[in-house]
Amino acid sequence: MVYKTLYGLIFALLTVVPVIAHAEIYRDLSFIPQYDNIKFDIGGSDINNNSCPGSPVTYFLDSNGYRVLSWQSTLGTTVRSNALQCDRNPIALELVDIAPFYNSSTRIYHYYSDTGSGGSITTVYEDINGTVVYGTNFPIATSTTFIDSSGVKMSRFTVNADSYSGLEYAIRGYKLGNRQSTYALIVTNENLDYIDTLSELYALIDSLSGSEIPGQGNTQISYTTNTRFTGLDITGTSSVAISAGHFLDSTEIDSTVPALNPTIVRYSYANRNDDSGNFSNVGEVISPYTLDDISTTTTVLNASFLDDGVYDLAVGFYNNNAVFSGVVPFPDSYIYSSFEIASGTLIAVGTPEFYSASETENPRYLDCSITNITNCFINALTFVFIPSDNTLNRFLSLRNTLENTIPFGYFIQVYDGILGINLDESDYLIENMPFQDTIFTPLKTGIATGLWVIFAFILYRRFKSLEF
Amino acid sequence: MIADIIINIVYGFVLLILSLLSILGTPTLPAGLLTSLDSIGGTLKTVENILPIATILVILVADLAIELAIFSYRAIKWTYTKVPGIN
Repeated sequence: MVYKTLYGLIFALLTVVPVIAHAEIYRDLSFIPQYDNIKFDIGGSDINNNSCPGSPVTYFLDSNGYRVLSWQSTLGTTVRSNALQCDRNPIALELVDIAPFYNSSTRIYHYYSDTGSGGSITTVYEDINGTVVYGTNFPIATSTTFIDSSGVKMSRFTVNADSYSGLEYAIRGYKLGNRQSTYALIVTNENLDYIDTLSELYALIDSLSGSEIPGQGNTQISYTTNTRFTGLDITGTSSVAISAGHFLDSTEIDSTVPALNPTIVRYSYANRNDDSGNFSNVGEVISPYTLDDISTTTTVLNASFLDDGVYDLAVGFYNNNAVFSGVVPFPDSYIYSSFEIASGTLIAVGTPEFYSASETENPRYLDCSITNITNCFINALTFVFIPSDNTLNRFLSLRNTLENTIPFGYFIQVYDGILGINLDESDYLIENMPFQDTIFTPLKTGIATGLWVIFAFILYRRFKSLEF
Repeated sequence: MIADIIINIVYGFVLLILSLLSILGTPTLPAGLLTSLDSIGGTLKTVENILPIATILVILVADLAIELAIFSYRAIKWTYTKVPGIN
């Protein structure tokens, strides 16, 4: 029994998870334009980042005859002072636009920082006309935190091989050749933050030159968060009370970095007749700060101060320490609704629309109350038998460890190598073969079908002969 | 909760074995092999009109993954049986 469970888990880990992971990467980065303007070789053995001389756009030959791109670490932190595992293969930089962190409502990537210094980052966002803008450098504080694709927050200084899966989705960056695990992240126009997950090393490439190809900035990878809004009530007449229920998931709230968590529920409203773009904000502090349960905040508006008309209302999370306007925690979780004021009185309320990545995709816990005991039982069973995302995500990071361990690493390197074979380009392509449609295409289909049948048969025999 | 505990035990066990194996060093394939895989695509493309190269590659990768899973299972099973008190 133990063996079978072990085998099932290992099988899933080594086959299904990597395949899904690769599918994710390929699916979401498939639109990315090739960027081969910059090509460089990193050769030879490991290079200590403090000893690489010269400018990155120049090369020198190492003792093996490989061209070496020189680079240096300028941020020199604990993590970044490690050497970069150099690659013997020529590496083409491919500009990638990692869009999951782009949010269409806030028009900015999910990047957080408090005040401070210690470098800069190019934050990529769209302006009001939908034009991709980058080159705006914000300071990176020591408490800078990125949020990965599953919503997990990570400090700049805790970025490591285990967090690459988040970082590779985090911001625009360069994917290096066909090495799916190696990414260079844009820091400034001239600097790249470089992460190599094969070697678990992390460094900064300085003064890289070359022009950038603008990214598309319009493809999103949805990720789920359980932190969300759960209800909205708008009541009253001359005094309009707006109450929003919310749920803060303890696994998504990083209590060690309070500046990054929701501390305020912000109610924003604007009169549709007002074309100036102005809107009003009221923030209600979340207090008490209850986790893993539904809580409510309420704000009260005096309708006599409001002009007549229909008001659009957006309710979202905010942080009272947020330093960038528009950057909010859990921006995918918000409520939209409307209400109408006439002669200083609330006369109509719109149907609220709840937006949450998790609400429709993967609600972990259902609303539980005395009138809905069934959901409480379901929640109890969920708590007991459904593993948390954090637990499952640890297995994704285990792949990196496997990758660096003999003998598994050999398998994985060949596996990655085969996956990286590019069939799109050839200098010797035969474009139009005679009888292609009548003979060769059906023949090819037949061979493919036969191969799958043979593979299934071999697989059956293989598993049949296994001893558990 | 129960599922978390079981999965974490398995994770810890696998991690322990991998940590022990890490003393063997970092696996590095000959550069020529990786380079050849890098450049073989262009050659394979030439016969793709006739042979289902993409299918062959997918089957190859799937087979490799399955063999790796079986190998890992056997390695972990072998290690598991070496734990004192377990037959």
